[in-house]
Amino acid sequence: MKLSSPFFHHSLPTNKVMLLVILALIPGAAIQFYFFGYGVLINLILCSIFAVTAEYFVLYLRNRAPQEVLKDNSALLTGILLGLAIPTTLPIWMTFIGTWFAIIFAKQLYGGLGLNPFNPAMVGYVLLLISFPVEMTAWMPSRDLTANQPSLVQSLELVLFSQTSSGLTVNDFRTLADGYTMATPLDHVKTEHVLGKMSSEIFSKELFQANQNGWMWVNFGYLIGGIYLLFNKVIRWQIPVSLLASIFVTSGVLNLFDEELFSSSWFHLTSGATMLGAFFIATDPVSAATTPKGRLIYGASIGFLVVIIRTFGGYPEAIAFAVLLLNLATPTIDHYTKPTIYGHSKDQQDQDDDKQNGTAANE
Amino acid sequence: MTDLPIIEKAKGHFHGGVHPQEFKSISNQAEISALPSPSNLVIPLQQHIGNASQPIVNVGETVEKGQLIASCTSGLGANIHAPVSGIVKSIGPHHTGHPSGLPTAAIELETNDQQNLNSEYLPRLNHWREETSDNLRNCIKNAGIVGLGGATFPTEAKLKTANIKTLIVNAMECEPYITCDDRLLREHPEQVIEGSQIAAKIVNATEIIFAIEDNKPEAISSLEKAIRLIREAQKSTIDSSGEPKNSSAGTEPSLRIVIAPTKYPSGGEKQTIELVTGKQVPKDQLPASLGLLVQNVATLHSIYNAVVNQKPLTERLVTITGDLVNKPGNYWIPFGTKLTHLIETFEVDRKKISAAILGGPMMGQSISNFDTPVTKSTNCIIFNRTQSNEKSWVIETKPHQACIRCSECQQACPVDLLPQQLYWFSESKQWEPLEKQGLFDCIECGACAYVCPSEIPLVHYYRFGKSEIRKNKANQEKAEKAKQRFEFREMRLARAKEERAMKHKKAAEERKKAANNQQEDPSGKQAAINRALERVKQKKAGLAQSQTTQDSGEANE
Amino acid sequence: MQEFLIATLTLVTIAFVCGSLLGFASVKFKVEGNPIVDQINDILPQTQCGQCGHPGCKPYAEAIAAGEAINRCPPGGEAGIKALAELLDMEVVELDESCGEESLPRVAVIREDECIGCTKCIQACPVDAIVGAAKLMHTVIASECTGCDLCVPPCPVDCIDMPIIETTSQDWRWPDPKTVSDPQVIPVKVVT
Repeated sequence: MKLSSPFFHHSLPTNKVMLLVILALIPGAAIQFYFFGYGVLINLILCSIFAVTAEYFVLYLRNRAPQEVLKDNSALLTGILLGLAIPTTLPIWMTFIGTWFAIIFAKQLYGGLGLNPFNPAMVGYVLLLISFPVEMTAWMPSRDLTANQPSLVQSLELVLFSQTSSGLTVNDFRTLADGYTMATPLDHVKTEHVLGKMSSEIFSKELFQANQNGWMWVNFGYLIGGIYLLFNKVIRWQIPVSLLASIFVTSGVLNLFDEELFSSSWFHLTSGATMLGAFFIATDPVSAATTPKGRLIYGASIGFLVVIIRTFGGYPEAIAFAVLLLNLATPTIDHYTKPTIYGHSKDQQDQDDDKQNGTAANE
Repeated sequence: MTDLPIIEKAKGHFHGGVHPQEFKSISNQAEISALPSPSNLVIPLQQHIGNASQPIVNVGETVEKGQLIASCTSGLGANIHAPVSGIVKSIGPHHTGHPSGLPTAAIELETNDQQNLNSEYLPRLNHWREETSDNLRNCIKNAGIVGLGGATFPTEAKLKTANIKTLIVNAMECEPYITCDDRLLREHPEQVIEGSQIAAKIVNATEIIFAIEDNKPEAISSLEKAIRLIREAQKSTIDSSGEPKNSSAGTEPSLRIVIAPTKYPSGGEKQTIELVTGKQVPKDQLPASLGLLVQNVATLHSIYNAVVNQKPLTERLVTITGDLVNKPGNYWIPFGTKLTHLIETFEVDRKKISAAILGGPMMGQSISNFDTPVTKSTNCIIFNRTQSNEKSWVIETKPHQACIRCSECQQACPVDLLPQQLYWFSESKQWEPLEKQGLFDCIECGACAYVCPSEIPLVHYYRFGKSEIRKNKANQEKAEKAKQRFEFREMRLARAKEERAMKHKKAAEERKKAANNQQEDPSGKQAAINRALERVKQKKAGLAQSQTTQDSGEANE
Repeated sequence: MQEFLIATLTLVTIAFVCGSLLGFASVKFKVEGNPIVDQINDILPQTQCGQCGHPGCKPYAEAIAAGEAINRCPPGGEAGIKALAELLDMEVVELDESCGEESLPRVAVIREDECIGCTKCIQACPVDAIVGAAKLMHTVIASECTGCDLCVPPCPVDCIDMPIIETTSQDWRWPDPKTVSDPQVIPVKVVT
């Protein structure tokens, strides 16, 4: 018997929320699987297993009834998100390091679900990206480009031993018939721009367009899943809408400024992990801002940073960096976007806050 | 005035809110009825906000129904009258349904056969329209009326506020299951209206607004009919007497109904005000600062009973509902009626129930000791199966999941707090930031806990935080007092020591002085004493001599 | 040589300007705060029981400020040690058992028919919470009593009890939800 009211309760339980998010990832993941082959499936399975075992391991060490806590599905979700973010043929030990680091260092060491200041999946991703930049950008070309997609066995061999039994490496699969090694569209555009090529030149290439086509469909898949989440009120509209709008506006303004140097809004919105980031990664409630206004600022800042880092930074993809940077800013955003409590006047509340800060500083 | 529409839509809206399943049709179908009196009643001495009442009857005394048995002697409080005629069996601690399960002071009554309401216990009044506000207010005070919406604030004190323009009648009844106000308005709208007119007269309000949710169409239509009749009656008197409309309109407050969309907790006083006026009551201020007074339907009905029928508050309308109740509905139940009596009367299967809910499921209280009596704050009693059916009736306590900061609670909070932050600080016992987050603005409506996906008992965390902060403040005050008393004592001791030292010093000085005097002035006092002493010595010596000669002489004889 | 002079002079000038600025700021924007002894004293529970070995809380506060251990106050208990540690930026340590054990708040009660009116307890009470006169019965002002135990030893007839203050419905507090999340330990008394 409950001691305190309310005795009524009605909501989607946390574990079901996580499950719904995983469900909503299915269309995007399926399209990714279609375009990039068995590696996607292998990654998903490996990351899920690693994530759950890592969580189990730490919970066991912390004496926290692992079976009970694992039921919240949050570790599974982290694993799946990371699995979708890493390239298809990443060696298994890298996947292992990334996933275990994500769960142990970014989540459990802070106290577990709800207490981690950073998005665990993105921490794992960035760790891998910084440590193994070559492997982490070695994406397969999309299915339309190559008849030479690795089979299930070949994918497994690549993941386990970094080469197939016939001695093919990842790069052999990435190399197209004409000896051209395909990078992701974002990577490609970045490299070409650095080499001084104009956008019109880059984008007109058929090969590029075909590759970009695959990524566009993947993004579309995640968009569908995201809209499903919005309609089920699993996530709120503020973060994805402000994030996408911000990408659109920032890249649009740059594009207007110089069409040849800066890619279009459409390209930014349909490349890389844009939709996955907007609907599934930035919306992670634990590390995101929690006030409605704060969420708008949070999403918009991520969108802005994504375009800026993609355009001017050293790495082709920027969702992970942008999300982690804004995770850092979350407490500040939340502090300054507190809603006005019933009956309080806005000014008074601000003054109280300042006083509080003042005394805190003095102490 | 009569041309104004009777029914209006609510102007304002409040942030957040939830839409729990209503379950109102269980109890709002049957007409209001009374129950046979129980044979044994327990009447708590504290059924209201303020000081506990003092019993004015003795054990063994026979009391009549309506007789004053405990009175408010000082400060804020309310009178308590005997709900039935009977004999006072005991006065002392009894289980009265405090959340702690601790006993509180109560009067136990044993019913006897003579049951008739003796109205003489309240002073007779003229018709209320001819009475002064003070007399009416006294009548309400004597009747022991408190806010029957659940807050139980003494009504007489609330009616003392000045500068009221609008009386808002709170008929929202937003909690699931509860239908007593709904039924009261359906069956006795004219009595409630008259009660509201009395209250309006006391505070000189110029308009009366009935605020009601749109899920009670029957109550709205019966209220509308009653108001229309009153307006027509006013019109006809104006027409027949030929007086100008204005003078009459000036004396009679206007009546209106404002309908709000159904959303919990629209019945919270502050939320009702925001719905009706679109304004918020400023922090730390009363609704009176906006010229508003809010009264509950049942309270106004009890005012009507006290002023018009000279009936003190000895019973109230209670919704008895839940899926274990035979004939759920609304009943007049005397205060002090124990739940055990109701369980028998309504044939509740005790095996299927481990606790009842007093009040609604959102803000009520779980009672597992069925000796608990009905009090002035009990508007509803729910006897439901204890196991959870579907998701809407969760009653067990179980370890909750972690807060994922989804801020669904923030979306639901009617006072625009950040419940996730409140939880964070309360859970980690950081009282100072907790208070600064606005903990004491929380109305404990339970909307946040209702939507929490991790099923965290958020309201319990707030209550825990509130009581800890209050305790800390009390302890601090006590420590401060002890410190002052200690310091005062130290000072007093130091002063006493100093005084003693001064005294000794003075005495010593005087002795010294005297010694000096002796040396300097041999013809002085000391010298005189010395001379006297010498004389005594000589005399003694002489006496001794003569005695020895005498002795020897005797021996010679 | 000239460069050396210029550099030295520049640095000295900068140091002087910054120094005077800091000096000015420290005077102008001085944080008005309690002296540390008062701050420590505010944390101490003011029971004036002397279990720490000092004749009252203020002397102990002075001793702490002079460097004595912060764990010698049983009435303040764990929470008090924590608060002191936070204030003084020290490690939280366990209560010194030699001073006594943390107990629930108590209040002194004199069994009045046994009291012989010796006034010894009145003299022992650190907060003047006992009233009475020589050869007349004494009594404790419960609301002022800090439960310090100091009146118990001097009483020649042992007529002072120190019962734990019982919780009433007035000062009952909601229990920590974390301790009641287990259904077995809900502190609702069921008396049937």
